[in-house]
Amino acid sequence: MTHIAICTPEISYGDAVSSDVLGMFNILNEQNLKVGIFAENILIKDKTIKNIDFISDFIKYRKDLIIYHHSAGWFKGLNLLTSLDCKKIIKYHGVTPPDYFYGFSRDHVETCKGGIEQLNIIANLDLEMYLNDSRFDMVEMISKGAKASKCFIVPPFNNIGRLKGLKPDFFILEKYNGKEVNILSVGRVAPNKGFIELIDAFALYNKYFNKESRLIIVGDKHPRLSAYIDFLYDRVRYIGFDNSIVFTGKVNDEQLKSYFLIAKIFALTSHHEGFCLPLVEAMSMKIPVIAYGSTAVADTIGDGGIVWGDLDINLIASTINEVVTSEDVYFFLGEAGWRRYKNNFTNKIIKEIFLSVIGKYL
Amino acid sequence: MKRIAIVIQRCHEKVVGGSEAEAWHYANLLKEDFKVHILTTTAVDSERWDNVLPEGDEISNGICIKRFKVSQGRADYWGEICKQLLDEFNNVRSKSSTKLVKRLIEWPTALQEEFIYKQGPYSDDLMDFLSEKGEDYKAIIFLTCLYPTTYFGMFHVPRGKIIFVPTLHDEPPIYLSVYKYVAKRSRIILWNTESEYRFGRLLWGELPGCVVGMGVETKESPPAELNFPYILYCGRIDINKGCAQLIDYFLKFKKDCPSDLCLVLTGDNRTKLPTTKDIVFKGNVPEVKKLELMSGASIFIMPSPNESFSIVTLEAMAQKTPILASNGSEVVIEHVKKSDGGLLYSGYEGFKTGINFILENKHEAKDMGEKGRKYVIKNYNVGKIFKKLKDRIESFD
Repeated sequence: MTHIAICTPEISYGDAVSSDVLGMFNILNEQNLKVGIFAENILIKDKTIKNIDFISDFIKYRKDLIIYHHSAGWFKGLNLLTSLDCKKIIKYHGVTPPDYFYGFSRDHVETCKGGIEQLNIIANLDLEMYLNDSRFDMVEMISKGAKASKCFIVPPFNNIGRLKGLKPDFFILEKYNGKEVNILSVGRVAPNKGFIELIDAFALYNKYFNKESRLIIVGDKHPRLSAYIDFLYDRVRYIGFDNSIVFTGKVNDEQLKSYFLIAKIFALTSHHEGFCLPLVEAMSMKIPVIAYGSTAVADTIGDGGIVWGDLDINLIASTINEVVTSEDVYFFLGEAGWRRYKNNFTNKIIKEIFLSVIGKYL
Repeated sequence: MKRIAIVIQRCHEKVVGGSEAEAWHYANLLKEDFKVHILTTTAVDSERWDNVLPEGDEISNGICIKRFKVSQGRADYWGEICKQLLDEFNNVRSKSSTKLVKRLIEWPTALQEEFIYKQGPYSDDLMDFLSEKGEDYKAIIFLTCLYPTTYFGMFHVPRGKIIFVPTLHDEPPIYLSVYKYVAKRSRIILWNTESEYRFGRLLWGELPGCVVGMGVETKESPPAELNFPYILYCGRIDINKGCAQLIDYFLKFKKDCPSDLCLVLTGDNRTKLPTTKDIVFKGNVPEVKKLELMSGASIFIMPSPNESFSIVTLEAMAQKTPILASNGSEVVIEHVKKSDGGLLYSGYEGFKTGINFILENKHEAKDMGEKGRKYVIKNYNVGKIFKKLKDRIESFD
């Protein structure tokens, strides 16, 4: 029987790449295939996940398969890709360009640079297949040298079914579900996410349209990005919105769900996304989505939300107001998002796409 | 033969419930002209929605009942969300004007849906079925507003096929604004009574719809032969149906006005009934037995403030039994006032006076009975309801 190793530099709960890895594992396992997850940093308790150093005990034959998740520089992983004699499929999640991190974090610059350099190598290895989270990622992969005939779009598996079943955190519901309109954004607090523009857009909305509003930014605050985080905080203080803007830091799934539940609008002004799973999570819950359509964002939202081609904070602020104040627009947009999710991004649909694309290697 | 689907949260002969009875009634009315499928869950109990019945098809009385397993029953913590909703409801009500539309609870959609979803019963398989097969039906009738089978189900089928039977009554969850949105998604709304229609318009605005209601059994039954005079209540014996107050009032009445009068109760009991010979609990009784009990009762009592149609009140009227009803439910008030088939009470004194008046004035009581029956025959005979329903469905071509 073919052995399938799913490889990723790090596995944890709550990040998009890990959700995709675990989703793939479950689907392949359901097919009664011999499948394992191999990672260098294992941050979840699961005995079935093995250290990457043990992969050669599992992948022994040419017919065996590695599914390699690429989103950042990982030298050990790249060495395996070039040294192991087996079939190889890449799952590409996008690499954030290093430029965003200059002046904030040398480590992030190096990791992203490594990711881009390795992307150039991987794309030219002429492997069996290149699966990409989005059209944006696929175009990038082809531009780096991968053969178009070997490139496919396979959206990442998600955690939405699990979120749906969780008990919410009632402390959050009681604290934030009040008269204020909550505008939510989810994503790690990093310079490519465009939070400065989001804060400015929110400030306009709050000042000119609705004083009773709040911006909640849910996402991990990495210590190595403290310079950027301090910069954001200074901005919030400078414009005098300390009481209306909340940075939650890293949250667990129950808390994440609760922030979605109290959100009236999901807003995104990110400059770079390879897919943006939180958009799909918001759409699945009928939360109207308003976004700046950079990189993969427009393709992920499709006709399920309002996407602006320019990052104009006046436009974002007035769009929020329009959606919040018009009952019909509000519900229509929520339903449009849900329909986008239902028709394109349920795990059932992603499973069909995934298995049909990689079927010949199983 | 064209297909009609009726979506209802549960369907089984053991189930007692107004909307469930209405779904079954519509299915039976339509089965001669259409191939009727009842789409429902495997649940029977409405407190937890556990999977009890087998999944799959059952043919009953010529109707195909398709049962789908419940994937989300009542969540343990649903009461906590419910409490937040009640707080919000009271908060909005205390601030708002008398306009009902201003009282809508404008929670974010995701939170409103969490309340509906975790209330249960939700069935992934039923939703998949509606998505895949909804197009095959000429019309899909969704019964009762509050439950996830209706709310979420309506998003899975083409809007042009939706007939919505909300069975509205004035209770806090109905003020969630998402219900207004799903009501707008329907092609037509069928109301059970004029008062429900008025309430719906005040709450959701003007929407396409008409009053249809249910047909009521009008064949006269022989009176049940009990060895004592009795007041009858039929339906769920529940605090929300006003039954705790009914029992308190009745026991006080017996102290104030001693006699051999008893209170007879039929239906699912969800309260602790006092042990006394004055209160006779008969549990769930067959339809025939229920009509006989109605026919033999001195008074049919309706204490519930939460009725959307109150079929039992109409059934008792059809058996010429005078009605004594609390003035808490718009629809029951409408039945009593339009028919002159009974009296309304408010508070214990009204309750006591009402009973004594009916028991002591045989001629007036008989007259109420006659008028009640006339009202039911005129407005709720089965043929008339069938024609209204069929005309609406035919208009979908």
